[in-house]
Amino acid sequence: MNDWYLALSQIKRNPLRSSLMASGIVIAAAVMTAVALLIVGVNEGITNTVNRLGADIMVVPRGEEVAKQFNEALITGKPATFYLDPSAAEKVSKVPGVDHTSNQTFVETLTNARCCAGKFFIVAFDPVTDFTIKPWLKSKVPQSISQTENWMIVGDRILLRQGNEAQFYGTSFTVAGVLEPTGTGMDWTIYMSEKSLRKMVIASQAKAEMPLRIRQGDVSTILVKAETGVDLIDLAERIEQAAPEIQVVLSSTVAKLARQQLFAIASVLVCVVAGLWVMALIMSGVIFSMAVRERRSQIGLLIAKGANKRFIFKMLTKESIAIAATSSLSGCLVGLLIVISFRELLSNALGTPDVLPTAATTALFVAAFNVLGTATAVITAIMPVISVLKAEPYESIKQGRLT
Amino acid sequence: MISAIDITKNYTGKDGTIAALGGVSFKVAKGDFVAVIGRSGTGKSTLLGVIGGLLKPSSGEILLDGQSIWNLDEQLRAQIRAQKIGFVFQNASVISSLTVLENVILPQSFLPKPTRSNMPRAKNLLESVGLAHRTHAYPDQLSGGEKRRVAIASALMNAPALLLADEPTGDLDSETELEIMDFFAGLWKSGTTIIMVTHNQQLSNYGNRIFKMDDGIMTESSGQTPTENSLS
Repeated sequence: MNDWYLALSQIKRNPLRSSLMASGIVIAAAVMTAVALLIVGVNEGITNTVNRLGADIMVVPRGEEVAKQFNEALITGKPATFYLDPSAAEKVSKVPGVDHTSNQTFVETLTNARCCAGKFFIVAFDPVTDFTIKPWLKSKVPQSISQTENWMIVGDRILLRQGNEAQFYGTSFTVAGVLEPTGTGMDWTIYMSEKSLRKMVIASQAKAEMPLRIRQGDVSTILVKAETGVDLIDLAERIEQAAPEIQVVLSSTVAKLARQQLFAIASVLVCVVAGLWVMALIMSGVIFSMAVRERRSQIGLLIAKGANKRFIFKMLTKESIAIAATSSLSGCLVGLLIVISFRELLSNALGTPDVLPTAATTALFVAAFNVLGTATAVITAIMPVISVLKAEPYESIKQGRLT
Repeated sequence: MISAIDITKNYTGKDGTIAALGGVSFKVAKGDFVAVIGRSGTGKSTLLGVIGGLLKPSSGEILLDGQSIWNLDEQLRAQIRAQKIGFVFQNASVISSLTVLENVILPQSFLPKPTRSNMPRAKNLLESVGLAHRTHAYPDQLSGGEKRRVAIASALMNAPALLLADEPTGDLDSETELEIMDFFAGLWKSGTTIIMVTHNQQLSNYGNRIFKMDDGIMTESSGQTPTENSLS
């Protein structure tokens, strides 16, 4: 009969006390894991977006609100509608250091579009100059579809697949291709050619409930590929000087803005989690402390039977380890399950492409929080043990309850 | 077997220092059955704790088989308790999370060189205290007398040379009290040295030596040989 046996027998014979101790740790570990995964997952999503933008510089109309909308569109695929002065595209393309540009025009679907519930982001682009969308195509667009007049390419999370049809503003489109999952707003975006957009605008005047009002030559953003070796900050300044009505968005700015939003939420969450964790530790510590004090006479009895204080310490520590480790692991897994179950809902609510980090990061976090949770819970639990061990065993026996 | 040399034990509280033991000296030979009697609070239990290595004396020395137990480190003292001393307490008799059989076997785990679980001995001990039918019961399913008998069987598991009993029949009915005392008498006959503290004058008749404790001072009141009557 070793210290583990005695520790586990105590847990088994006191299910209410053990589950009370465990419940606080489970809840705290679950919330801690879920929040940490959310923060890391959202951060990873932002990094993915920035790395996959494809363009070195993006040009949009001047204004804080526009920058915010553009940012959200890139990261979450939330529809954004703003338009540059038609002359801006030409001015930008002529700036020294610009290798090539590609224009995109933004539209949003109506809430009652036949393909999908809710508003979706439509981006019209020029297939000839494009360098940001086509590289993400899952497979080559079949000849038959590519020759279709009104085609579209859809992001991975749009519930349409190659060959499907959908109608926007009274015009039917056929899906020519689906993009690879990007973990960015592209997953939620519908792409069509600039030519198709123009046809849709004209058709909408007669067929749509709310006709589109986009002027010929309107573009929402100009995506710029810089020449190799060009300093992007210098180039951005030159572009802004060439066309004062526009603003330049660097990929680093996109990340910065998104992270500012994230950290505002994250700091509140971290405080809540820290508070919850402290409460759980106090709760489990108090329960364990009460349990140990209640068992003072039994601890004294074990010493009388020949156990030394080291054995008692190990036995009580192992008892707290068994409870803390299992409840901490369960809590971490519950936290992970919550994030997985509400992945889409959370990413929509938080306005991020995804909330779950990569499998490796997730595993690392679950393991780390399990160790952290166990260690802190054990430390809190065994503190009262020290005072009990300091007492004279005979005093403990006399003070304890009759057993 | 045991020599107590000028043992004192002082407690410091709000009302100043109280002397629980005021210089107690005595010798107990192997095979003695010593009954220590006295009113509550006279220092009987304190003395038993000091002899058993569970309560550090303020001064003095306890020699067990010539070895000063309070000069040993905590680990060695624990080994001596496991090998040589069995305890029976009124307050704490059994470990509530273990079954009757596990409670009896438990002291074997604390022997310096753990041997294979001596199940037959544990079962024999339970049989000798009349609890062979309750081996898998938990303490909360036992009566007070049954618990005390489990405690006695457990105290005897490592075949200790010395049995220290603190009010072993306190709070038990007279029938159970008699059964337990008869069992102690049997143990004594088989050669176990017993030191029992009690406030019950009648029970002291089981001992071949009776010490009286009064305000931390101990005096030997008789050196009688127990009569057949007192053993029955």
